[in-house]
Amino acid sequence: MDVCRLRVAELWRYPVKSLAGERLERAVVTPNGVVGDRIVHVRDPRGRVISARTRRRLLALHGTLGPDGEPLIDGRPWTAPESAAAVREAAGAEATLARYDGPERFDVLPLLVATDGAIAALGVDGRRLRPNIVISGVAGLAERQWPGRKLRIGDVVFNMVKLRGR
Amino acid sequence: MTTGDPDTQVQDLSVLRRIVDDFGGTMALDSDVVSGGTIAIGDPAEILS
Repeated sequence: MDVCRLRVAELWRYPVKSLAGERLERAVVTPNGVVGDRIVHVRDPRGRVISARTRRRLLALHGTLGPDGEPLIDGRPWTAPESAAAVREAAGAEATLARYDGPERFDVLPLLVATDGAIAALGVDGRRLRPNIVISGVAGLAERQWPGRKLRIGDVVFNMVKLRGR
Repeated sequence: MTTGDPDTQVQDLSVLRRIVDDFGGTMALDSDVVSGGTIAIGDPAEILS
């Protein structure tokens, strides 16, 4: 397999889970994922996460990380009344924002790695997959042979654990 | 969240149907971190055997 041409093509972070995220030039990765990823979420009164799967309008709001490391929603602090109002507008009157940065905040594992070959095979905008890292130079569906192997980017090493169920 | 258009939020269930029908219901890789650090656009990457 020709692996010499693999490169990091895109880096993404979603400081507020279920909202649109931000494209990065560089990302700091720890065992707890990309720093600042999904550290605030939208929840219902019982504390259950409200997802864009059922509240698609959440995707119209943009989460970014502010200079102090706290998420912004459409440029305002996530704690601002305007942010709470925007989330209620998108996800219902009982939706609130909460901060939680423990490892259980991820749907499955801390990172999602996508590849250009599989995105092209599917033929959609790769943002639909909500990846953290997009690797380019991957022929076709070669990613399907990756589970159980490691991906190395400089000194950073990832376990490719399994294909993501959709 | 494959079914929502990232720009218009319009639902398109055919995307998920195609992932199920043509890709065994899976796409991209769930991953964890062995050793952390900083990565950047354009960095070379390699799959270790």
